[in-house]
Amino acid sequence: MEGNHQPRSGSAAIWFLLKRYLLSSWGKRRRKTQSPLGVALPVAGIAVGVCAFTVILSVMGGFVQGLKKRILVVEPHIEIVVREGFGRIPAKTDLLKQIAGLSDQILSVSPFIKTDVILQSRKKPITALLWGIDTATADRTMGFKSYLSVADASLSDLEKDVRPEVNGKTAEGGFPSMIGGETLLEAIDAELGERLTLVSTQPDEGLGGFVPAQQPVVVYSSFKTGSVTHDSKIIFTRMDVAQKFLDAEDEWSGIQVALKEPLEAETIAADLSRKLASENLRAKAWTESNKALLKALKLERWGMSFVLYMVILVGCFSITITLVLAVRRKAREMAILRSLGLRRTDLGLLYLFKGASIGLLGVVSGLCAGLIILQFVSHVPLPLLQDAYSGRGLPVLISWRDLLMVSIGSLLLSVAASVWPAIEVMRIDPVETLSDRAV
Amino acid sequence: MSQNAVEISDLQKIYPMGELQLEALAGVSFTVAAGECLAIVGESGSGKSTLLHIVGALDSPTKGQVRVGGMNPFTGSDREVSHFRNRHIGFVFQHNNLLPEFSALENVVMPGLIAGGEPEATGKRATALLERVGLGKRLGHFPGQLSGGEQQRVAIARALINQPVLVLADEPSGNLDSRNAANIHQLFAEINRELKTTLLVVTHNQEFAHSLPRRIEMRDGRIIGDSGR
Repeated sequence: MEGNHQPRSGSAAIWFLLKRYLLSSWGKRRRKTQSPLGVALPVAGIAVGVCAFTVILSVMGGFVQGLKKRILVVEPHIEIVVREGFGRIPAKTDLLKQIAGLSDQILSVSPFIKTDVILQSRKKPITALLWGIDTATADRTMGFKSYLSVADASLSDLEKDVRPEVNGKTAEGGFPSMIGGETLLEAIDAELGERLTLVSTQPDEGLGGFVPAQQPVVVYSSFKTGSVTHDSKIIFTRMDVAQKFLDAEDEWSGIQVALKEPLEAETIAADLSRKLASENLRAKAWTESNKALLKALKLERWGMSFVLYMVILVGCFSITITLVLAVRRKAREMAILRSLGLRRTDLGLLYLFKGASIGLLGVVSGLCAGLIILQFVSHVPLPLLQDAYSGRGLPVLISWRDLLMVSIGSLLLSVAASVWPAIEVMRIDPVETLSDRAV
Repeated sequence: MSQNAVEISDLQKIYPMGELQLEALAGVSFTVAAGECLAIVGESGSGKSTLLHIVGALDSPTKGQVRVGGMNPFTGSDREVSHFRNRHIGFVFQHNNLLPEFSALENVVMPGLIAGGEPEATGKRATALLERVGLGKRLGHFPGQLSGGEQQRVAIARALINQPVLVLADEPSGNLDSRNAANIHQLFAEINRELKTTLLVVTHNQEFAHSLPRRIEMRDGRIIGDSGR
């Protein structure tokens, strides 16, 4: 502009206006120019969404973490198996030493053999997965000692032969002991001390034709990890019993590996697979064995996040509506501000900041409310969930990264919701608005 | 700065109304000396307010030149035009002039804050101006607590806060009773005399117009009389 001076900064005026327009709803009576609901409703809209996000995803996180723990109670962090097919590996102690030395992340190794069997009680049969384990080392690769029903029991107790109880009396002669999932044993009405029979699903050719292999076992203890998949399917015996049952005395199905960092299993497994390629072996991480479940949980989390973002988005719509109504109601004031020298962009910024401030208030309120609710549900048992979490609060895992993401996302949505009102206010024609027609 | 506060030459404003065109200003030319006090009179629709809006850079001309304090406000961006309005023009409108959420003092301070002024210094200047217009005891009162005449006094103080080259008043006493209107007229005269501020007042009040040193009469977008010529 000819003869003009340096343009000024009106930021002090914008902050002054913003503060007053946000607080005018709650000001003294004479200052009140709008209902408190004008700001409270959109703030509440965002807060509800953020609160729901915080609570639901943290409880889901707690649930998933608990589930992973339960999976890892029974399943090893890594299994070393044959590279292709379902073959077995030769039972060589040297191989255990070799694998244990492959990575400083490995805590311990333990061989196992497993096969599908039919478990026959006096009343009914059921299919099960038999794990023959090395009782000397399996306690270090499987952490379910504390989930056993018999106090002070451990996997090394499988070494004992146990005499079964028949009609309340201890029978003569002992049989190998077994530990089975509680749900599985309940399904066949098997009790502790009862003699059961393992029946092979692979029939052997005998004198009388095809006869399946059988092995009597006695229930020494049951376990309950909380993972239905394991509690309803798995039974353990000592290695030599399972090997003899399978007629595979010098073979293992694989080697269990326990890691310092179970969540790094995929990376370490890839490394071990590379190193064991020449032995025709590969490493299978626990995440690979539970790929479908983990993928489903991840998908559920994404779906839930999407739904919760939609809730926040709906809250943001109320910011748009509130601000558009404010632009209409305050058109004359905005025109006066233009006549006083406020720029179009200043007015636009004022409304963007107003939307962002409402969003910020909503995010902070929602986070506070969500964290308070999480404190409550994680400590106080909920009557509706007594079956699943008797006497305990819900498991909760707060992911600060997720909360940061939802806070930033909500703020961005709040600003985006203010764009239309900002454009509307920038379009105000001061001449038309200040003329008598607009009064 | 030139000797003239305002220089207007061949100013034309045409509003397109569908296929028709409404000529609100049809070649208006005049100058206003620095410190002069000028009344613009005329019937409704004669182009008075349009002229005021263009001189104050709220509206732009279809054709012609406007220079205020030697500056042509229509060659710059919105940022520069806004700056021009803020620093060189003071507006007093007919009614609903003030921001209702802000006290009298805050209303007067606002243009100073927009100009980037120090809040404390601007506040002191605003207080002095409100005391000058007789509202020293009403600084914290909100527009809803002030009478129409008092509101106009606040608006006059606000128009003067940035010591503008030109104060534009559009029917400043149009909504007031005769006593309050007379007080406002007297205040304008005093301000013009004391501060040497150039005043351009659109009014229907013939008594007020005749009390000012110069009158321009308009009809159909043209000047039909100028007592200063």
